[in-house]
Amino acid sequence: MQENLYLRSALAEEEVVVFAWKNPGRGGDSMESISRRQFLGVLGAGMTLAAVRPLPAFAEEAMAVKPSVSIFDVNCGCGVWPFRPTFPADAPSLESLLRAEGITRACAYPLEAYLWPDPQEANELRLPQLARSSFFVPSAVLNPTLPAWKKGYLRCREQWNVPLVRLMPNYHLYDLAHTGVGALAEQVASDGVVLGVHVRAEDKRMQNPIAKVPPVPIDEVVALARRHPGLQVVAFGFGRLWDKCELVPPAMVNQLQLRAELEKRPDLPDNLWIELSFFEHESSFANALKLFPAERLLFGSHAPLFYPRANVAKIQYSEAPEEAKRAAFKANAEKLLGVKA
Amino acid sequence: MNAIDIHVHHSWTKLADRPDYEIERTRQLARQSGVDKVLLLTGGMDATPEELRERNDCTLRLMQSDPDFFLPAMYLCHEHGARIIKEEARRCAAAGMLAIKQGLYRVAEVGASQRDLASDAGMDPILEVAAELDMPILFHAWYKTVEVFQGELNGADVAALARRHPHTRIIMAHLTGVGRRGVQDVEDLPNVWVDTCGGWYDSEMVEYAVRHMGADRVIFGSDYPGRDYAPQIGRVEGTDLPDEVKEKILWRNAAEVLGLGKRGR
Repeated sequence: MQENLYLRSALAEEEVVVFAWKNPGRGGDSMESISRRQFLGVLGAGMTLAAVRPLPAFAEEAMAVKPSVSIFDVNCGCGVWPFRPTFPADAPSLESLLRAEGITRACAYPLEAYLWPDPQEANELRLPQLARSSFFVPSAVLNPTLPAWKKGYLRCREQWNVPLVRLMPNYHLYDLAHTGVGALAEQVASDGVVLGVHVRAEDKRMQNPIAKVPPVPIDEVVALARRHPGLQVVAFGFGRLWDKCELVPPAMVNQLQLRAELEKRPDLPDNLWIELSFFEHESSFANALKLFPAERLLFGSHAPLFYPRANVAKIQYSEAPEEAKRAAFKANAEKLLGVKA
Repeated sequence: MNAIDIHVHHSWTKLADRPDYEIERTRQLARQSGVDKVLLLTGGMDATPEELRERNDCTLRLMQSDPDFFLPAMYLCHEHGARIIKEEARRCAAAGMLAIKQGLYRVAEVGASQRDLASDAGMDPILEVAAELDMPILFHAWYKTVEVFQGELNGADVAALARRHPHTRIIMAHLTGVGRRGVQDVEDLPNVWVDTCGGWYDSEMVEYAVRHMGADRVIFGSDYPGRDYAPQIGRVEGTDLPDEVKEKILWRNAAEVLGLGKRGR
């Protein structure tokens, strides 16, 4: 049995869609996968697929620099991003990309869920493929303002045993005080499922002008965690310290010299976890440790929208203690999701 | 792979008020992330000639304190007039400065478009003296859909300046910020390079720049301390580009553009 994969490129001014064939197999071993470099080469050679060979050369190069610890990536998307090329689109290729950076387990979600009117259709498209590989921990995206959200939730639990449900309130146009969010929060808390909130997916300054989506205010995520103390809440994509939020003292905003003096905020709810893919300052991970408890920080690559190497390096080369790095790279995610990296 | 970072800000503006902690952090974090040298940038769009001279002197002091690591860039203000601009540029060059930084541009009249920059002669003395001294100018540039600064340059502005001054070398800052439009704005202008920073680490952007501009015209920059050296290097090392291209982006191109070999650094 074969299935289509499609790869998209904006190599030239007009978008090109190329079809390749693959044979599904365990972990992508039998897949005729192509690296991006090959793909571009193929296009340059007149878009023939005759030159396709199974060699992820970039992956081999990257292996040489991967960190010695194993890494659990809690934030990667599988699928097609509509606004620009983001390779790869399918689960086996995404796995190859992440493994090349030393990532040994990844909690992935369907990328199409950001914009499709019913994210359950995106779950149905991508979660079966993700569930086929032991590398991935499938996670679902839901819109709890839709009348049938609970059917989708139950199906994702029964079919793919998702330990994490993600919300994208800024893309689905609701706020976290919506009654549907409260109902979902109670349901997942009683099931021991984690609830994630995607604060942002892109830099708001460079979004497509026809689709400007502001970030979710982090204090709304904090309030959600406070309203549901029995629920574990993850903020995906919390970014800059000067984002308007209650986590940062006003005097801290944009004041470099104060970063050295920043201490943990004692009033953060214990059930709030912070994913670090967008968190960036002059010494990102060390600053995150000053803001948040070490046992609440989570590595996320935000692949394929970001180069996964960037976020690995952010923690790997940090001045922070090795123990905190290991926790953020793996142990915290294992504890949160109840699965091993 | 060690790197030269062509886009590092420092905040020392008054000689009597040296921010020791920040300066040491700039060096310490760079070295642990694999950055061997940084081009130090200062601002000064609103500074008087005397204030700007002091700011440039602060940058020179940093160079003198660690000449192998701190590479200095001067700031010049287009509102100071041609004589002062050129005198300050020549003074800084004689003291060892390697480049010029330009930030936001103040439009001449209320309501004037940024596009007026293409015909406005206010910037000409800076571009002329850069050519005379054989120094690159690093221009802040961005295409934003929100939070646009007043007078903020974009790729088309940089292209207009580069066309008017074909003998001046220009580095357009913020590859991810100017995006694909910005790359296309300058891809046919051999006197323009682009640096790799500008927000987060959007995949495929560095490869796009290399495909359109060539491997010799893309230069690593982090935008530290607003950004973090390590992930900004990661966005280059994590590309699907050959090692020799990464090497060009991370240090060879910067060394060439700054003339490090010629200047004995």
